[in-house]
Formats: sequence, structure tokens, C-alpha cells
Amino acid sequence: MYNNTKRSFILLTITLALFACSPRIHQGLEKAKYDLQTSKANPQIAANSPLILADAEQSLDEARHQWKKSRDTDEVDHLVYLTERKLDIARENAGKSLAQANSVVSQAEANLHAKSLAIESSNERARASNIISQHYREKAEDKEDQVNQLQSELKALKAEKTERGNVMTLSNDVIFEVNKADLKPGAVLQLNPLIKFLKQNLGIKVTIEGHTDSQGATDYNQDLSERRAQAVRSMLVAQSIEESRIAAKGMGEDFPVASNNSDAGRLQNRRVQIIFSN
Amino acid sequence: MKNKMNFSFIDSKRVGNSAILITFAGLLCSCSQLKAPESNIAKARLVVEQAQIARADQQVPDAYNLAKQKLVIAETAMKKEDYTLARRMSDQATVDAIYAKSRSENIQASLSAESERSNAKSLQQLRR
Repeated sequence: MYNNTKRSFILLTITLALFACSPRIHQGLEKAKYDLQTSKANPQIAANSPLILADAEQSLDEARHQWKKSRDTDEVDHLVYLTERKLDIARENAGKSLAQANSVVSQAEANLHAKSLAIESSNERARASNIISQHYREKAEDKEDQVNQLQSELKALKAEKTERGNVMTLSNDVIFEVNKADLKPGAVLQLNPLIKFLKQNLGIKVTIEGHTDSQGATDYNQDLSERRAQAVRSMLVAQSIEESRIAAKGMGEDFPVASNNSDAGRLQNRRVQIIFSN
Repeated sequence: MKNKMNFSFIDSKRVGNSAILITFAGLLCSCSQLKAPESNIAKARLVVEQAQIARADQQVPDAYNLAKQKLVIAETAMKKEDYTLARRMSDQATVDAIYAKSRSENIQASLSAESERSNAKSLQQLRR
């Protein structure tokens, strides 16, 4: 009986000693369990690396199983190492996915900014072209004003618009002595508006044509009309109108504007015409 | 006679026990003489190579070299027919190499994300 008790005591001691030798808890295993839970709870990791997480879980299960079965510390250490490394991989994969997503967002932002820049620069261009077209429009309006001004001035000269351009007609009887190419003293008064106009509009050129009625010899009439046209030209040149702007020619009796059979018609035919051109 | 009978019974029981023991021992032997972890080593070699392709040797040399060293240990253990060590080292080399590859890819992705971000930022500043 005593022997039996003694034996039991020894056995108990040995059992306790054995328990003391092989710890019930593997620190690494516990840490791996915790790390796995943490990773699984992280939505970024759980969403991006479900396969590698499952793989880590499998290694951990194997480690627990080994620990329970054999307490083979080397093998459990090894399996815990695999588990932890797999969790590292899951974290890196999640980080990579996040970085790639950020890249995509940044690219989209960059595209947006680039497009806005393009729009802004096209707005800039539109503004510039508005300014330019405004400038040209104003210029065109100026030009129109000038033309209108010119037209009203020509109207003031009693110039008529014909298919040859604007034509001003002066009666020979008013500006010339009878049968002579000498200007009457009052002719200058008649011609003053024309001189003023030519001085104001330097781009305008004139052609002076002398015409007669059909009375008298044709050659005489031709010569007289030439001299009269020249006389008007000389007068204009004397008034500082540039020579190159003035042409003069005699047309004789060949271009009547009315019948030569009546006094009134002949009066109309005896004339000097001034044709304006640019 | 009875004794002899008894003896022969015990004897046959012993023989049976021995047979079971021998079989069990044989099984144990075949277990401890594990299969050579050829495929584990092949896999480790492959992923170490892939890690290098992912430029892990430049981006994360420590992790990459660790994988490579473990692969060498596994190969040496294989020659010495220490299959347990060979298996453990090749499996560790595998996860180390995959980790090195993932880390390297993460670093590169983060660098490119950073450059995209600064690109977007400079374009934004151009607008102001």
C-alpha cells in the first residue's frame, strides 16, 4: 500500500515535470494568430489579398495542429514563420494596390487639369482673337466712315455717280472766256471745292476731260477742248495738287450729253468733266 | 501439455506483437525518411527568379538575399539528404522571395504614384 502511494507520487512528479518542460503556449503561434486577425480585419488587405490571407490561415492551422500534436518547436516555428511572411506579402500587395489606385486618381486629376488648361488657353486665344477682330472691325468701320465721308464730299461737289465713277461737270461758259482756254477770274471759286477735296483725299486721282459742242471746225474743237483741259490741270497744279494725280485730255465734240440742235443742249455739251478714281 | 499449449499461445502472441511493432517501425522509418522536397526547391528557385525580374535585388536587397541564402541552404541540405531542413528552407525561401517581389512592386508602384501625384499637382499649379 505504501509502495503504491510512493509510486503514484513519483509518477505525479514526473508528469508535472514533463508538463513544466513542454510549455503549453507557443509565443510565436499566439502572435501569428493575433496578426492574422488584425490583417483580416483590415479591409484594404482583406479585399486585395484574400488568397494569400487564406494561405496564411492554412499555415497557421497547420502550426496549431502540429503544436497540439507533437509540440515540435522547430516545425511550429517554421510554420509560424511561413504564416507571418504570408501576412507580410498580403500587406505589400494591399499597399501596391493602393498605390496603383492613387496613380489612377492622380492621372485622372492630371488629365482634368490638362484639359482645363487647354480650355483656358483656348479661352485666352478666343479672347485674343476677339480683340483682333474687334480691332479689324473698328478699322473697317473707320474705312466705312471714310468712304461715307468721301461720298458726302463728292456729293457736295455735285459729282454724279456714273459707270465711269464719280463725275463732276463744270460748264465751259461759267469758267472759260468765249473761244479761249483762259479761265475766268471767277473760275477759282467754282473750282475751290474740288481743290479742297483733292487736298483732303490724297489717294484720289482725277481725269479732266474737255468737251465742246458741234459748232465750228472739228479740229478746232478738239484743240480747244485739249487746251481747256490742260488749263484746268495747270490751275490745280498751281494750287499744289500733285501733277501725277491729274490727267487731262481733250475729247472734242464727239461725246455730247445732249442735242447740239438747241441752245440748251449745246450749253450742256460745252463742259469740263472731272472723273474721280482711287 | 497445457503448459506447452499455453507457451505456444504466448509465443504466437509475441510474434504477432513483433510483427505489428516491425510494421509500425517500418512506417515510422518511411516517415522519417521523407520524400525529397524536389518540387519545393523548384518552386523556390522559380520565385527567387521572379523576384529578381521584379528588381527585388535592387529595391529590397535584404529580403531578396535572405531568400537566396535559404535556397542555397535548402539545396545543400538536399545533397546531404536532410530533407526536413531542405523542405523548411525551400518553403521559407519561397515566401521570402514572394515577399521581396511584392515589396519591390509596392515600392515601384508607390514611386510612380508619387510622380503622378506631383505631375497632377504641377499641372494644377499651372492653372493658377
